[in-house]
Amino acid sequence: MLTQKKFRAALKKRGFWQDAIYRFSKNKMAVFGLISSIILIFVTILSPVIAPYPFEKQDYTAIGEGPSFKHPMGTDLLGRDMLSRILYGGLVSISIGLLVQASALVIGLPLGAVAGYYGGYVDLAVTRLVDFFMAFPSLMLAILIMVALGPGYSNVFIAMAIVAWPPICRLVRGQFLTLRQRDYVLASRSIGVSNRREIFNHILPNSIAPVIVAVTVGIPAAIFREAGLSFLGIGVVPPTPSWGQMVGEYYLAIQAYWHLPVFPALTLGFAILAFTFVGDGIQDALSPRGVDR
Amino acid sequence: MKTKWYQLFGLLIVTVLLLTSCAPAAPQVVTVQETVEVIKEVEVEVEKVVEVEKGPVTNIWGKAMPVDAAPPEEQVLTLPCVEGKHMDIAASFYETSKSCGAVFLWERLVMMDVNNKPVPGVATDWSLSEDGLTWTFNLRKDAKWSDGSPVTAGDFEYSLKRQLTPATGGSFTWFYSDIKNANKVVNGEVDPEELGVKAVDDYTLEITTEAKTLYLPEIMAFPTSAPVPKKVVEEVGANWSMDPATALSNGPWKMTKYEPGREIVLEPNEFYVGEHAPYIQKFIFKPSDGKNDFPAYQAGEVDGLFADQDITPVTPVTYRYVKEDPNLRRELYAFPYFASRYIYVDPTVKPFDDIKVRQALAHAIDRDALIQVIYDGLGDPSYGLLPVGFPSYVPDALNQYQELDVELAKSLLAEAGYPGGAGFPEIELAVKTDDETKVRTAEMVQAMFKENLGIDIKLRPLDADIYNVERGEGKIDFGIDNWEYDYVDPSNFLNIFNPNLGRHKDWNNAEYNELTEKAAGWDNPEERTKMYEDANELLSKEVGALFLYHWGHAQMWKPWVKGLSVNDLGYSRVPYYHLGMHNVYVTPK
Repeated sequence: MLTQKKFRAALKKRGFWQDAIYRFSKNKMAVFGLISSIILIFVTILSPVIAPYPFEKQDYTAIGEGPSFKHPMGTDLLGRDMLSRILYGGLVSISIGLLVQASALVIGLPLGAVAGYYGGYVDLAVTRLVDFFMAFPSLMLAILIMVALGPGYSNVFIAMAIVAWPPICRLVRGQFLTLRQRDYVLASRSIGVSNRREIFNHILPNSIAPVIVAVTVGIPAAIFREAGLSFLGIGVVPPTPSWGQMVGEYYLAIQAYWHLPVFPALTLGFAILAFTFVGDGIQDALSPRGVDR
Repeated sequence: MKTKWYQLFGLLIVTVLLLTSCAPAAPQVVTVQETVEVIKEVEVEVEKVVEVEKGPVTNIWGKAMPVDAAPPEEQVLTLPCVEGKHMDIAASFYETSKSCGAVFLWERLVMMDVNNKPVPGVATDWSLSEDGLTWTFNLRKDAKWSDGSPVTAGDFEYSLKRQLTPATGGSFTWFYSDIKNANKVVNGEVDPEELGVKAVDDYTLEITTEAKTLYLPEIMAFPTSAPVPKKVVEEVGANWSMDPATALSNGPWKMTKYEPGREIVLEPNEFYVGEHAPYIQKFIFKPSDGKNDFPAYQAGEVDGLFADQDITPVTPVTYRYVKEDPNLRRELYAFPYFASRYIYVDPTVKPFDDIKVRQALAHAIDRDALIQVIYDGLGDPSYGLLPVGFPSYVPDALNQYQELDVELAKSLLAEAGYPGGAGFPEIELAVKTDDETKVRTAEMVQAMFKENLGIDIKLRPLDADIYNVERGEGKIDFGIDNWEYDYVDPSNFLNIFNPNLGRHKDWNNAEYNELTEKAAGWDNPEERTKMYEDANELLSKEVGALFLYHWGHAQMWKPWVKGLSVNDLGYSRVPYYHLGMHNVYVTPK
């Protein structure tokens, strides 16, 4: 009796978010991804402290050496420690991934909300703008912007943010458009709730789940896109490393120096997998029709 | 969702591929001594072909084939190349598909032999007038275009005038600054008809120069001095070189297939009569980005890795790898090359207007480390513009002006008002991204300035085309640049720093300009050499540029490719711009 009572109480208290967290925690891949992502983020943030060498330190007595105790991932062709470069490159790659998605949210959410809620000319203007940006393949548009702006960390960020916000905006607009028609919103309006309260208290909370999914799923995509830009040599400015830049610089040297492209590629692959697992886990947890694992 | 898993799959596959293609061990660090030894070893191992034994078979040009050669119809070479926009080398040089056959198609008035000495091409002989201003070239009468029509002096006249006309958009026009009115024509100040090039009759060409110019025949030997078929070009227009039907050539080969991005094919021009008949009957050029040709070579898809000027198909990484491999090493041909890489500084802008700043920067660069780390020792450190072994190059004479001396560099920087680098303005080093060695050089120099002077500089990676445009507009104040030889005379290098004759317009030193202009026509060879020595010294002493290194080149040829020319210094290779390919043949595979 007692346990059933507790169970019922617990069941009563568990809302949508508790449910989601519960579902997420039961998803082994998602938890693994989350733990790995958190470790990755911490390690890269701490890279200036924990890296065995400064990432730009050149040692001309150790050119292109393979892995050893002194250099666990070897050294590159200018004698720089690969482990330190990969750690610092992670800071660049991951921070760009997170920042880009955050700014996509900051731009896309209000624009989409306004367009979806008010409709009319505002909607038309925003939709056309979104259509314009989405008419180009995203990587190509990012490359175009990079060529115009020139390489550099902040320019990579700008180019990718410009590419990343339209899908979020479109998603939010769609959510607002459908939710606006719902009976409970109509009810709230009929009792004289203000626009502001209607947006923030009634529509936004109900539309946020798919947005969170889109943003988290977009993080690995953004990391991958940054890697693509840097691989092509139009990303960050040397000597600043990023994973994509390291693979791009050394993939031709694989015969002579296998460790140069392999370690950054593996790290990049691992990070993208980890972030993707988290995104998928969140999607499964938040999706009402999701598969119950 | 689905698409993303697809991406992940792709990534996994790539990772697995990367892992499976791993080589077992990375090579060790190699010292300078070892490198030298290896080059020598390679030289010994390579079978040198100086004189080939001729057999009874003759080819389409009537040239007797070597006894060990494959039959004429099997004389085919497949080579990788870096594609440009067109084949019209006498219009805009840098944009041409130079290595895709453009350098082989046309025979110039004068040609250069394997030792860079001028030999007759279309002209049988040439002479200088009494006043030293007019060169007369006598053309041979049997020279034919690939449609059978005769090559005339008018074609040469038309070609040069067309190249220098502003409307053509030539990128190599300053190369002809010595010719009368050339600069004025380029700037649109006078009509192209005023140019000092005149066909007296069909077989006599007169070229008048601004001042006495002893190296004019060498200039006329460069690939950009090629003739163009006047009638065709006037009729077809700028795109004449991109269609085998209209791209007439006067060399031993003609273009028979032009498919950009896929294949460019050269086959015999059966109308060619001349001294430079070749053995190779067919070239198949496979365009690539020039950076990844080694796997294709290893797979046997191409017969050689043959140097383009700007990008060496045998990259330093490949060079290091091949050198360690006992079998591949036999196919490697490494040789010193007449080239100079330097950091261009604009001495008219802050902080470079202070010579002490330029000197401090120059003395802070460890050139031995650059050539050792980046090129694995294939090359020489440089303290002046002229490369090692070039006329007017004096060994060790210029080291004092620019060699590594950290204490001196620090004190010079302090004298200039930036003790320990404090207060030094933020500067950016422009660098082309078309070649990994340039970016690596920039990264190393950046680290050296930081360590030796306490200066933080930023790098500004630029696409090569954008860099060239910005340099043309004078926007590059601090950038990694290089010069590779066109002909062997000091004027070829030293003129580029004379604003009246060359491409760099900022370092305007009256004494230097006078030396280079006077030496151009100076008759006494010893005095002339001395004048260029002085100019070279002045450029280094006044730090017109921060000189870095002279890098070497390497080619690779499959064992069945024979007939590589051996130059005076004993190095076997196929000269890129000049004669040498006409000696190459293949033996049965």
